[in-house]
Amino acid sequence: MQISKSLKRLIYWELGIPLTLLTIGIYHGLMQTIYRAGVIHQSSFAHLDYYQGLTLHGVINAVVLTSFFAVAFGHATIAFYFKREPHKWVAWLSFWLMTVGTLMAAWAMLAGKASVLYTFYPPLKAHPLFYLGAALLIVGSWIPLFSWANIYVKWKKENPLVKTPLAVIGTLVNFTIWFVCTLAVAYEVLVLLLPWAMGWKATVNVTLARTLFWFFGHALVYFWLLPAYTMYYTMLPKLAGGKLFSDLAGRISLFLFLLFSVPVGVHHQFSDPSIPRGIKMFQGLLTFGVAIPSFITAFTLAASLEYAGKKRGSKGLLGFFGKLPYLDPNKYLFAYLICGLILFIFGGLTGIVNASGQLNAVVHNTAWLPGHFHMTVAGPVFLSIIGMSLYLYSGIAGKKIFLPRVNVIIPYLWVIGILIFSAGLSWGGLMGEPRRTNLGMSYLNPKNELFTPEWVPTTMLALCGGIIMTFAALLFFIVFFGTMFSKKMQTGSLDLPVSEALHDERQILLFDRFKPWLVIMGILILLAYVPAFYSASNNPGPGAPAFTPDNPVPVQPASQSNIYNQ
Amino acid sequence: MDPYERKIILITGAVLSLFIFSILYARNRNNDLPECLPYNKAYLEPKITRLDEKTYQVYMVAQMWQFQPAQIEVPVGSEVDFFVTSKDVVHGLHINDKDVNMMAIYGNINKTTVKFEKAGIYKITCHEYCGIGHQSMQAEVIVNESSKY
Amino acid sequence: MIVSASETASQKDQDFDRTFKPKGAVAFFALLIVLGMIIWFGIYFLMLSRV
Repeated sequence: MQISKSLKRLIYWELGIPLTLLTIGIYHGLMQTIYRAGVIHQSSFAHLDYYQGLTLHGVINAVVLTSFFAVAFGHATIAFYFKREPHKWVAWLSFWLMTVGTLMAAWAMLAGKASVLYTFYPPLKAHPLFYLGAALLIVGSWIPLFSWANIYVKWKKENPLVKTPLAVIGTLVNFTIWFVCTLAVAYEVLVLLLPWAMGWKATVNVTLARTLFWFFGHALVYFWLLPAYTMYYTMLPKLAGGKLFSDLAGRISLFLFLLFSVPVGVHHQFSDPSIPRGIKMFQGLLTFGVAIPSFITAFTLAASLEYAGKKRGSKGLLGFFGKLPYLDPNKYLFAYLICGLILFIFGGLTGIVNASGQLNAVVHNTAWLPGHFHMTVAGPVFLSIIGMSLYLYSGIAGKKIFLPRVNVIIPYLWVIGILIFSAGLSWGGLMGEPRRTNLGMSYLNPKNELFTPEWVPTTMLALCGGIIMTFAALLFFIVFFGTMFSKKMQTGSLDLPVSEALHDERQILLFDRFKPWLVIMGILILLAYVPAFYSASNNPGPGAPAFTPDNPVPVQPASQSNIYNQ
Repeated sequence: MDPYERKIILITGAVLSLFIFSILYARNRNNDLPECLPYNKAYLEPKITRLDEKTYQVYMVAQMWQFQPAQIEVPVGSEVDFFVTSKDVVHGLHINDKDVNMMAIYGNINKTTVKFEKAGIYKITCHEYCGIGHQSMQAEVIVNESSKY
Repeated sequence: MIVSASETASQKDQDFDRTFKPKGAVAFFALLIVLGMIIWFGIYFLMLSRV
């Protein structure tokens, strides 16, 4: 599909900015493993301290990269499937809000005024521009949804009997989830935190802030994951040389995500006070519900790959795995996607452990957690983002991939790195190794009284994995920027692989319209979260004053608000 | 709907139900999710109270960057109730060798019960980022053989 | 009856599609469930041992 110069430039910037910032994000990832293994015993390195680096790593990799990509990919899928471009001014307004917001937050983090990590839990306080920047980034990313929904509604009126393309359902479901869940974090940031950070409000209800954040925070991971799922259902079978086993299964999965992505956030707060056990257990149950679409997807994709393998002549029960285009440089997108799936096997299964009530006590806030989420967000999400960014850019710009044979092995190197890295973290976590901690200063410093020798092999594994991952990322940057600076070879165009469905069921209205699902989604959210917000607002005692990471004395003078004086 | 897909959904549901059943079956007072208590500023005073030979109450206060009390001594076989809060930012309280994993939050009281059936030193580690001194925040429970008492 | 080569090719495709049964995918899924149970019950019994 030929697209306008405006859309081309928009997509270039929306892919290019986060990938450029990713260099900083990856650098800090590597530094984490170096500090934590006790290679250095310092609080900072090259003028950037550990927790500042950790904040940059989380915000850039998990918020900026993912949001910009989701928007760009959304533009691409809507434009490609409906042959209509998103409204120009809407798309550019969204871009500028996101970019200005990112720059504000980046300044605050790089200036050392926002070392609060990407969860920014109060009463730790960041510079107001960090909060404002985050709010702008999020609001900017909402805006395209309205243009896309408008295009969809028009298309549906003109084509009432045609099934909505699966990729479009993926994009619209994804951004509906995003819009709903970000309302809570926007409220947290703009109403609870920003006035408090500016000194206009003396205290903040920490539990309420956390509950609002996690209303957003769990659905966030589905916002990350659903573009990848869209690629798995609509592109992977074609790339493998086969067909999608069941189109309906894809629709059911996506609508189940719409239902269950949001009303489960309290499973991140199992160890929090002031939230009754009943609410925690109910949301834990709903979390098991959100596991179901992933299992459906695992089977459907395996069946699709089996079809592809058997078509190429594979024999035996699992022989089909051997007949797939793993190392074909012309099908590099297959490599990026399949490697994400390999990692997601472990990432998804460990996620179910985390959601399981009492089992959470074994792993919460230990290194097991980053072990888990690097096999999800740094697995299928990251690989699909960088793979598709390369694919979209090179297609639209009409350029050939730079070093194609290097490109196709990058995902495999990444998988090896992550598996070693997460093995170390998971093992360490089960032995009590904490996350979000500069271990090198104390626990991994042989001269320190807190030295914990059990964590030496685990942090060493994480370091090895981290080095391999960094090397893979470096190769990716060379390939991507090499492609970007290479000469245009042909007319650019927006093209996406489109898989044919093996079982292409007729249009079933229930799985082709949003209204009934939106209603159920709303009901579940109310059932799950009204009691949670009520408890978080009423159970806690006094609100907290502001603290900066370097000082136990609160920012507000003690006489005004501190509980010492009550 | 494809018959295979239908069977897959049923199998998934069965496995998840097995997990849910296992969780409910194993639920007891010593491994349950933390209890939520109404706020009371009395819990801000770090304290170890011996209710009887094998029953203790600890008011644990987390702050930047230490736990108070930093050392708790109990005889083996004791049951200890921890009442946890924070004087400042969010801290974590993790006793890895027992199933104790709680957040200490300003203005909130968190409670859990632990039974120490084996003698030894149990480390209490802060596992939520709480500022520049976070990596030095560790306390301990020393569980002594009964002969000491 | 004489049937042309392209007809037999697409007939073969249709037969392949019609008779395709995802037995391998079922096997893969079973292994996935087994792995999931190993991981889950591993942590479960670890949790119980620490009570």
